[in-house]
Amino acid sequence: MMDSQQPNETEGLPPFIKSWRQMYRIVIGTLLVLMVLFYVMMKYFE
Amino acid sequence: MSFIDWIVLIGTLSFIIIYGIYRSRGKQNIDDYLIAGQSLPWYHVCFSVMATQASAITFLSAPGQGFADGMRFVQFYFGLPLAMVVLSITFVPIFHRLKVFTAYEFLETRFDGRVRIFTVILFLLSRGLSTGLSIYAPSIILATILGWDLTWTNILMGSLVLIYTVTGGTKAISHTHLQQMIIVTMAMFVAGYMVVHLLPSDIGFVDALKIAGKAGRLNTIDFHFDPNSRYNIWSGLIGGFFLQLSYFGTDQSQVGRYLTGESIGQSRMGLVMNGLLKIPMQFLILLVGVLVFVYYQYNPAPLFFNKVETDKLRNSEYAADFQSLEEKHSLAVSSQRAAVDGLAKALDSKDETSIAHWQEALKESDDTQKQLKKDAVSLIKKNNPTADTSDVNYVFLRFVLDRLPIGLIGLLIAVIFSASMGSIAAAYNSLASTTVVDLYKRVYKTDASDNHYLMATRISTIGWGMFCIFVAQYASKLGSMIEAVNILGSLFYGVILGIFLVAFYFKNIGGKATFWGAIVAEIGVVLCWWYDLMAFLWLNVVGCVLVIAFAWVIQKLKPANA
Repeated sequence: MMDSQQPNETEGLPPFIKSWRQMYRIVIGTLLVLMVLFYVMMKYFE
Repeated sequence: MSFIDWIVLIGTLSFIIIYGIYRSRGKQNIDDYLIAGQSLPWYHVCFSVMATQASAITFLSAPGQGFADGMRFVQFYFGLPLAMVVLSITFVPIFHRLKVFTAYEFLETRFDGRVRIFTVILFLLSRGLSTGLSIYAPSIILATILGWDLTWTNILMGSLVLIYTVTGGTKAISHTHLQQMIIVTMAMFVAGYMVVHLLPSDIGFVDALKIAGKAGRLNTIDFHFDPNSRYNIWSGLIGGFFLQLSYFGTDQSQVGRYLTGESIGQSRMGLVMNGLLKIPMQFLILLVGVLVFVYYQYNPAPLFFNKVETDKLRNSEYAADFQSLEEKHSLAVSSQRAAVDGLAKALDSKDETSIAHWQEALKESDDTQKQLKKDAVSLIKKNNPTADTSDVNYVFLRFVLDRLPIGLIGLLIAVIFSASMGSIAAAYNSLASTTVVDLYKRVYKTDASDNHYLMATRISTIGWGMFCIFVAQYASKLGSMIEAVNILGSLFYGVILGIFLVAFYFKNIGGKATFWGAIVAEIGVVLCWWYDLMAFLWLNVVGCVLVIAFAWVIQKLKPANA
């Protein structure tokens, strides 16, 4: 089901992102950053 | 509400409806009407899926939850970005390449007509009934707080949407979703600013966060694994992932949104951006509720926010008991004010002993008020067994009506309507498209013209609208609304997800095995619910696992025929 062999692999991506794989890493990375930020905020104001 | 609030409310709603009709003007064919001709850019897809998911209850309940329970509800959405990635990799390319109007068409390509129709019936049942409840839930709150007639509020809530959904179809829905999300986001920022503005002059935003933190309301992350705890990081990441995958991947009200993308890339980008924006948005909504909590540390909060029920109680045989509770509540509020003043001073002077002392005093006062609220709920239930005792739904609206200036009240009521209209419009559209594409066109009239199907979809939209409003009128008999919606969804969602997962990941399992596996699984889920064998959220998991297991076993037993 992986779609990595598509002819127009970068269609829809912002110009500064090279592949969908990189975009997905950014999404998962953002999730991790948000969880860390939430944790730091909770501990800081606790 | 004042005259100006009415003008703002009517003006905002009229703008949304007229804009939706205007943007979808011109001749339409069935492609335009059902999937906007697959012509929309990623930001339309993104805001459309967000507006479909965010119902009115999101903007009524979530701030109330922040007020009562803090920020921990945000963990519920941690699985969403992961689900968006899986959808972008698997579901989106397949749906786009097959050029389907509905998700269920794919099931016939993969299995056969029986599996498709069985899944469609499950979807129509659950979505039709739950949309009725989605109309009723905000209507009962608005009717209660504003003194409106419930029947007319239901009709207004359910029929305003029909105007642009019937005329403009999916294109109108997507364009109005964008406007609705802009209005909702803007209004929530203004509400947050106003709460901080209404705090004492020496208490700023950071001071408010410090007080909220000391009162345990910034509890965003809980690493403790407890199956009985509804919100922790594990239930959010694992349970939330399956729930969001099921909702976004198999519910036509969402699939219909991202099928409007002009390409696979635009649909993917819309979903991925939803994955990036959803958690910060939910965080901000909860934060508004936490700030309202801080506001009520400096100002007396009512014992119970649903004033209609407390007024009834004051005129009942329980009036003396309630008065006694209110007197105790006043004392608790006084000690809370002393504690919060002491805590603010201690935080300024950074005196750790004093901070700990006042923090404990604030916690004691908070616990006392929670207990008094429980006692008040018992009295309300004794007085009126059908009363809506879920006070979190009323906290934010009560605050808006009592404390915000004229004009802003109208805008925030418009937000509730807008959010409601966004999710209801997508639901009507998905019900109508599924009825026509997967039942009418597939079973009854297979070779009619485009115009014929277009008209059939419009008529079907009106029919489903009337059905959902009818369900809303009788929803009061069902008890707790949110629970009713969740139970309904849980009865069917797991089985539908199981069918799709078999389709995607178990290539050796055929249509016959999946069909019978799904029927047996659905019977199993209903029996689990009927005999109350588990909490209803687990029905999703059971349904999904049973479909895969039964389908696999049946396939193994009859590989040649199934």
